[in-house]
Amino acid sequence: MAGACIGPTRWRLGGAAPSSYDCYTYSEVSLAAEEVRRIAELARLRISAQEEATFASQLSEIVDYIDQLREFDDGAASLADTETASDPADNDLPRPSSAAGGALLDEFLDNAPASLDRFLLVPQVKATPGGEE
Amino acid sequence: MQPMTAEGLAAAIRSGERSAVDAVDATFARIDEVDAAVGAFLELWRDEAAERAADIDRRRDEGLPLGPLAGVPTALKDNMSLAGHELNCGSRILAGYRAPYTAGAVERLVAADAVPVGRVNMDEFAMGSSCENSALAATHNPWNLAMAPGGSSGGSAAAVAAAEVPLALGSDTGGSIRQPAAFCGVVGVKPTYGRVSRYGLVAFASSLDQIGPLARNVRDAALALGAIAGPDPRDATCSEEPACDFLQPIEDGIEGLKVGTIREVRTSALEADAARGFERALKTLVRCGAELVEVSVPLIETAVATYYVLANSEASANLARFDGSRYGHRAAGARSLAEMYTGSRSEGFGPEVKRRIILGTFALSSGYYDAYYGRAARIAGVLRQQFSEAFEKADLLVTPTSPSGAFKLGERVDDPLAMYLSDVFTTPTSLAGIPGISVPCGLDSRGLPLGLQILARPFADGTALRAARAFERETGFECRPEPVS
Repeated sequence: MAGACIGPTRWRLGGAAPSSYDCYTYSEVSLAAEEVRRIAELARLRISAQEEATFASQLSEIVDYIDQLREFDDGAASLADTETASDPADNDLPRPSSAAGGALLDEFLDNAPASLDRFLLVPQVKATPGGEE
Repeated sequence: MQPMTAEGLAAAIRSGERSAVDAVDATFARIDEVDAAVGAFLELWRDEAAERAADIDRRRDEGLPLGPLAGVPTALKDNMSLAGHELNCGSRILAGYRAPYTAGAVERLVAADAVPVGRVNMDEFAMGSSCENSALAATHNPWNLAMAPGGSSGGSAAAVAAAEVPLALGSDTGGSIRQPAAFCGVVGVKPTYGRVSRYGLVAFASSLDQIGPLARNVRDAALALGAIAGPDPRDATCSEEPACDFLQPIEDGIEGLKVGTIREVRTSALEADAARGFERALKTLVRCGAELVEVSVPLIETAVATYYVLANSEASANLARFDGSRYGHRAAGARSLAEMYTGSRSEGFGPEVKRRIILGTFALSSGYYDAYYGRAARIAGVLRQQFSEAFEKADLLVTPTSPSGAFKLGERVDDPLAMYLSDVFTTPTSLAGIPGISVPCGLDSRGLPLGLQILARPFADGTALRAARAFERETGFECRPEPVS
C-alpha cells in the first residue's frame, strides 16, 4: 500500500524496481500531493488543493524523467569540475558596493513596499507575549 | 524593402546620411504599426529614446566620434536593468520595481551609442520556451501569429523578426536566446559563459545565465556582441578576457575547418522537416568548404534532465530573495514575517515559477540532495569533459537548434515536460558553458523558420560567428515574415 512507501518512491522513482510499483496505487497521488505541499511550505509557497494535485502529477512526470540520470552516474566527479580560468577571489579587495556608494539608498528605499526613515518596515518577526497570536 | 541592418544604420548615422532622431521615429512608427499584433513590447521609452537620439545627432554635428552602434534602436529583455526604468521579469511579483542602476551589458550597449527603445516580453523569470509563461502579455510569432515565438527571450526575437528593431538583447540559461531566434528566423547568440557581464541581470540560474544579442543577420549580432562583451569587476564570473572586434575576421569563411556532427543527435528523433532542414544545412556547410567529421558526446541525451535539476535548484535559491520585504509585491494584511513571505510569493509568482521552485527545493532538500543535485552536478562535469574531447576532433559542432519549428500557442502549456524537451539541443551547450549561435537554415513545410545551432570551444565565439556568417552567405536567408511584412 502507498502508506508503506517511504522517501523517493512517492515520487515514482526507480521505475524498474517492483517495490516502487507497489506504491503505484490509488492513494499514490494523494501522497505525492502531500509531498508537494511539504516542499512548497519549505519554499514559502502556499498552493491551492487544485494546484497541489496538478503539480503532483506534473512533477511526478518530470522527476520520473530526471531519474534516467541514475544510470549515467558513476559517482565520480569530473576533472572539469575543478577547472577555472582565474579566481576572482585573488583580487578580493574591499570596494564600495557601487560607484555611487550610499547615494543609491533612496532608489532602493523607493522600491520598498514599506519603509521608515532609512529602514525597511516589515511585520513583527515574533508575536509579542500576550499579544493577539 | 528590407529594413536596414544595425551596421548599415549606424554607418548612415555616423556619416550624417541619416539622423538618429529619424531612425528612432521610424522605429516607433513601425512598433505602432505592428506591435498590436505581435505583442513584443511591454513598455516603450519614447521620450528618453528621443533625447538620446538627439544627443547622438548633436555630437555628430559637433564632430565628436560616435560608437559602433550609433543610433541603433535596441530592445531590452524585461530582466535587464536600465536605471530609473521599471523591470518586471515577466512577473507580477516585480510590479512597480524600478531599477536603481544599469546592467553592465546595457551600460556598454549605451556607451556604444545604441538607443534602448523599450523592454520586451519574456517568460516569467525566463522560465519557459514559448513566452506563454509571461504574467504580463502574450507575444506572437511574426511568421504566423498563431504560433509561439519561442522563449524565454520571445519578445526579443519577435521584435527583431517583425523589423520593429534591428537589434535586441536577450538572456539564455538553457536556450532562451537560441530557441526563440530559431522559431522567429533571426540570429541569436549565447556567448561563452563569462563573456558578457551578468551584473544587473535578474538571476535565474547564475552558473548558466548569459546575456547575448538577437539580430536579423550575423554581422549585426557580431557587432552587438563586440559592444557588450568584456570584463566587469561587478560580476565575479565575468571573464577578464578583453572585448574584441568580432566583425573583423567574420568574412574569412570556414574553408578547411572541421565541423562535427554529434553521433548521439539522431535525426530520427527530429520532426521530419527539422531533420531535412538539418541535412540540408550540413550540405551547405560542405559547400562552404567545411570538412564534416563525426564526434561523440554520449551524455548529451542526459542534458535536459541534468539542466532541469541544476537550473531549478539554483532558481529556488536565487528566487528566495523575492519575499515582499525589500521590493516588489507584498501581500496585504500579513501579521507575521512568515505570513508576509508566503503570501507575497504565493500571490506574486505564476504556476511555472512555483513548479520550478518546488522542483529545485526538492532537489536540494535533505535526503534528496545527493541523488538529484549532486548527481546532476557530477554528470554536468563529465558532459563538459566530453565536449572538450569532441573539440579535439572538430573546430565547431553543429546541431539543429530545436527538434522542430515553432509550435502552436497553447499546445504545450499544460505539459511542462513536453515544453522542456524543446530545449534538448540547447541545454547541453549551456551546461558546457560554450558559445552557441542559432542561425536560420530555411523554412519547414509550414513556412516557419528552422535554426542551425553552431557551437565552438570556450571563448571561440568569433569562430562560431564566422561560421554562422559563411553559412548565412551561402543560404541567402531573408527574414520576411508575411503577416507583418
